[in-house]
Amino acid sequence: MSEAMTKIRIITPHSVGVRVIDTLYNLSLFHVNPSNGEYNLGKGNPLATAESLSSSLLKAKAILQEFGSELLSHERTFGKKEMNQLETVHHDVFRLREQEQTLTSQLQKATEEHEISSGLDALGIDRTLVQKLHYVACFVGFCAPETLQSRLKVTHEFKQVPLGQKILCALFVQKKDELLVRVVLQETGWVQVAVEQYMTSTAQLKKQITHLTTELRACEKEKEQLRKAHAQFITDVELYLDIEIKKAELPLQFATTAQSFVATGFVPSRHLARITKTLEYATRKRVTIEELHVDHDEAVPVQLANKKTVRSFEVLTKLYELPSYFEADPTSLLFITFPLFFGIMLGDVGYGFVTLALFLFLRKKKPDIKAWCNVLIYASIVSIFFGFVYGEYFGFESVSVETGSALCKRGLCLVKEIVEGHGALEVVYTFPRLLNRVHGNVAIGGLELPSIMAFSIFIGALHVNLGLLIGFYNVWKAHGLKLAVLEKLSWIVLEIGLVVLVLGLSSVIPVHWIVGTLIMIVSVIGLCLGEGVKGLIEIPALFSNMLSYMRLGAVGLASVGLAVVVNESLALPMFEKGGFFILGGMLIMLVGHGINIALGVIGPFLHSVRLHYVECFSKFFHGGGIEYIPFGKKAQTEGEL
Amino acid sequence: MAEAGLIAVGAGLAFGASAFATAWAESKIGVAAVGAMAEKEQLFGKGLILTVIPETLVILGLVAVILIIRLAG
Repeated sequence: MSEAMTKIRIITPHSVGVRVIDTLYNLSLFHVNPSNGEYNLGKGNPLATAESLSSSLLKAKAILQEFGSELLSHERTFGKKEMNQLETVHHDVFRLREQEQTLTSQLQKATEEHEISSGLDALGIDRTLVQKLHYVACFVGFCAPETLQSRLKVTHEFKQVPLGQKILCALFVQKKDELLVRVVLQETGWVQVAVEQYMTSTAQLKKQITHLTTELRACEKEKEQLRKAHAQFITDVELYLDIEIKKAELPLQFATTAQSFVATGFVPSRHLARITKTLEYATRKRVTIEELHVDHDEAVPVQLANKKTVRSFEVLTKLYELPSYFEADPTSLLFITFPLFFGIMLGDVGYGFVTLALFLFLRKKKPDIKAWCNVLIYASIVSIFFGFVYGEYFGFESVSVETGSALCKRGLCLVKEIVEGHGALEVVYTFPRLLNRVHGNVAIGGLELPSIMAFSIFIGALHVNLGLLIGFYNVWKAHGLKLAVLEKLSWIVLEIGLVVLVLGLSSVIPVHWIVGTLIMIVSVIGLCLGEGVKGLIEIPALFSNMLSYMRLGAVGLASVGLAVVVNESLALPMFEKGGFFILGGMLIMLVGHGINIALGVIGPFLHSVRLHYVECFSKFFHGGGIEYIPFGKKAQTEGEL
Repeated sequence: MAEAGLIAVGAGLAFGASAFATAWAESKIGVAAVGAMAEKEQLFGKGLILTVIPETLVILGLVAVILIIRLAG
């Protein structure tokens, strides 16, 4: 069921606004309904502190980004002193960042200069002399020597030295050829190096690089010290500011007058008295809390409130949609029928134990999917139960005469049966069972049907009608008894009419067929009145919905089929050959049953979910509920269930 | 024996055709559903329901198969 909610209006003067917001935050029970301008009241403004808090939060976030640390934040309260400390840390961090940037760019420049300078040294170029040349022109730059040499016929002196991935070249030509050479150089992608800019000696540059590197390291060390000293503090401050801003901006969702503000929202009814008492105490009774009437078309927040065992199944409800506040929560139904359907489909003692162990292990290892694991643990237990009902153990329904006799000698006697296998009759010992789902037949109206299929349709009829009864309750609560009878009970009456008609026609009961027909006509008229033309169109769908439950048998039979293929057609012939083939047989069984178990979890899960969502929920569930998110500390997550 | 063979072929056709129809319909819906889920993850539940709706076809195919075998056989 979902938690009962009460709509309340809180009216309080601006002077105690902060105290009210703080109290609401600490209570974490008030789901705020944003003001929609009722009574022509204006929207509230953020608290005066909002701007400075936002600015501090930006600083905290910037520092954390600079620190690059991701620590776990703790909820703490901070005062003015700590805010000043935040300012200081921010100042220090960004001073260091600026210093670091300057040093890095200086270091980069010096390194480049050193590289070219050492290249010039290697080329044997005297920087002072080159500038004084009168009859010779000197070109220094980066080039592709092969391209250049193939184009240049006037070369007098050409030198080159590799510098990293590039090649530094020096070219000496007569002054009269200077212009011609310049044109060729431009065409071959020459990148000129201005020699006059590299007057500092290589040794001096090396010294400069060492100095800059030391300074940069000192800077990084200082930053690391700051990070170690303040990272946790800043992380906590960020959380604190985040919360404070949420509080400061809460009045934006309130209505306001010159002297007071009006907050409207929902609280769980069972906590109303506590909320009233706490707010009155915090404001010294300068607060008015009034309960408001809730209309049926109002969006009331929904908090599912189920007992601990059922709570895990809320994930299945939420996977579909939250129920609206005014309709029944289908979680309890899912708790009963989801594992039941899963079990009917999987129905194997061996597979059930394997999946049970798997989900128990996963629940321990992955706490965030605990609820899902709980659901599948229940489903596995029901699968084991149905495994006993069907007498199936890893796809085996029986054992050979030899094994059966051996087991009987040890006190475990199975049922001796003669079955047809591989075109001949053979004696086997079958496991005790209540229902033979592979070969069992049941005669209905002279027609022999597989018993598991008949059983599935019977379960389907029950499930669909249960859905209709819940729908009846929902409509009754929301729109009254008359519409509930017309809209939902008409379907059940229609089914009764059909059963009476069929039984009457087949002379099972001494009733004239007209009686059944009349019942059906009455129900169809009721449907037309309750649901309109849509009801008439849906009539065939009701029966196809019930037939849809045949998948309960069909999916299971497919699983049994695969298991039998693995056991009898693949593994057993290998075992019969003996020797190393036994190992091969074991491998086949391991892989085959592994695949079958994987399919056996996915298939029954999806089909069981589908039977609920499509066949059953469509009879009563509308959904569209909004989640109850109270203003305050974070709500429990699913993993904590 | 020939009659039994024809019954088996009829049953196979009924099941195969309905399974193919289901697969075809589900493939179209599945593509759209996955596209919608990529935009909004919360649509998983609705996407799942829309995708599995055509399964009714194959279930009705199964009903037809059972009726063919039981009535004719």
